Amino acid sequence: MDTDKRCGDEIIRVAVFGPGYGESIVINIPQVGWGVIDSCLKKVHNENINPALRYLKQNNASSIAFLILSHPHKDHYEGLDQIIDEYVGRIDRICYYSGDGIREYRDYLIRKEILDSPGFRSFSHLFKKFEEAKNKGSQIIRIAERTEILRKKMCGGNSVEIFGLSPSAESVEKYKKLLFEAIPKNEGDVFNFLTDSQHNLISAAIWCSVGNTRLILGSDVEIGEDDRTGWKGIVSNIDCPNLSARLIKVSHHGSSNAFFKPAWEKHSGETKPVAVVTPYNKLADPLPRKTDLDLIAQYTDDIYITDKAKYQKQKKIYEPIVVKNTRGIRDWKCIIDDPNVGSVEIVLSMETGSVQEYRIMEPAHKYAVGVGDS
Amino acid sequence: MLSNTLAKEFIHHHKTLPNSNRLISSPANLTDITASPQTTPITEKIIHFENIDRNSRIQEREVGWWIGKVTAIREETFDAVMEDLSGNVNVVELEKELIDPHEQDLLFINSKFTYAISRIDKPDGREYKTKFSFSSRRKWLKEYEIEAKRLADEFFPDSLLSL
Repeated sequence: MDTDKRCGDEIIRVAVFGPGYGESIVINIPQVGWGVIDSCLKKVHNENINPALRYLKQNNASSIAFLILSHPHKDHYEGLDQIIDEYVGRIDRICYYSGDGIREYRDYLIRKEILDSPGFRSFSHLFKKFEEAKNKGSQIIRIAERTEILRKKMCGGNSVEIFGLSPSAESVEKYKKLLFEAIPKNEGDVFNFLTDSQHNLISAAIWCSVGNTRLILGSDVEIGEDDRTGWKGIVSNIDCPNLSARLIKVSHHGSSNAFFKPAWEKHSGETKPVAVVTPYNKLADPLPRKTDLDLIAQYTDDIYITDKAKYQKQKKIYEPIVVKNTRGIRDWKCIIDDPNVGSVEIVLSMETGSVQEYRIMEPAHKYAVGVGDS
Repeated sequence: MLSNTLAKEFIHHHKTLPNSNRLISSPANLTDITASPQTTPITEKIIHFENIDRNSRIQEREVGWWIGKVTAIREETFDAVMEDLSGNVNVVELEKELIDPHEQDLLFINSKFTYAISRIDKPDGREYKTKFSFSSRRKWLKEYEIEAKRLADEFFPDSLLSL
């Protein structure tokens, strides 16, 4: 059955994927269709699995109403090209950050590629896919604060509206300035690498309202330095919509950098929301951390995590002679590549916003509040 | 299907860059010249090798190779994520003493490095050696401008800036 634009099903389906590096969200809204926010890949037995694309196919999605790239970070766009390839000509609109500063970002990535590491070509490949989709009829929208992703419309007796909560004009300006300063211009100039937090300045959080149900998808938005950037900027914006929500995709993998108390007070203002966290395992101390989850747990009883970092001893992977002859390594953990792709799928009522169903695919799991994530 | 492993991408990346002489040989392109088989059979000629000391032969082979990325810096150590050619991802804490004094300024969050273990067979025995080197360059040279322009024109022309 084509579930693209089912009428009469008064439910919203949200599936969140986050295999430990990267994240992707797929939404189905009656009479609107399918939406995809970001994309990720999971390597299993030398094969790259695209969980969002697989989910769309499993659900017989024949078209995509909106496809969003929340910000140009590899862990948010890996595999987006595959989704475009599969649905090219059948994607209504593509929304991505492409405002002021995109030229600087291109020039920054080129210089980073020459001096340090790859990344530019996969980024440029994605933009070529956007162009291809545009030539096949997709509408291209530059995403920013208050950008309309889906024009307010009635769906049965319910209104549907989706727009960006960020980045603000000030964030974009700040980011552009940082990029410009980082780009070496003259012989001997030192390349100033931007930090991940600086790149997150242009992350787009998404506000989605369907009937009486609101979802907030936080991307990698961090707290912000002032009341014009990050969550501080979102909350203090006079035009800020109602931030109470039934479902929160916790921003920036649940890090302390992204936890902003006033935002969570608003999220839980009407009812305790369900929170979904996508981990970031490629750190010595992976995200999310227990201390950060316990902060979030003050505002929700239901925290779901899409993956679980597991490690094994190096001697289980490498030959003894290799392990024995390493020098200068104090601590060494090997990440176990779980062959399963975890996902958290939540079915919500449009009418009441109540959760109708949870489908948790391991290694995704529910965080035991107060006990931890052993 | 495209592989997304950092290590493979890194090797491809460095092969396509100008002045990629800082790349440590990876196992994929490591050749052991002294051990290569002779392809043309020598039949009738008698060849006299002069000044060849068979005992001086040294063979070196990399038995472990990782590409790493710095994720945190502490007083005496730094954290990194290292990936091998099979795609295994390792989270490690490394001692700063590994870093060559000339490369100290290349230690920063997100900087890339290679970590390798070589097996060296010498006439007097076998030994193992650890090699650590940052793969980042920090300073911009005028000659890179041509490559920067080529990359922009080929992969991201101005037309893509305003879709």
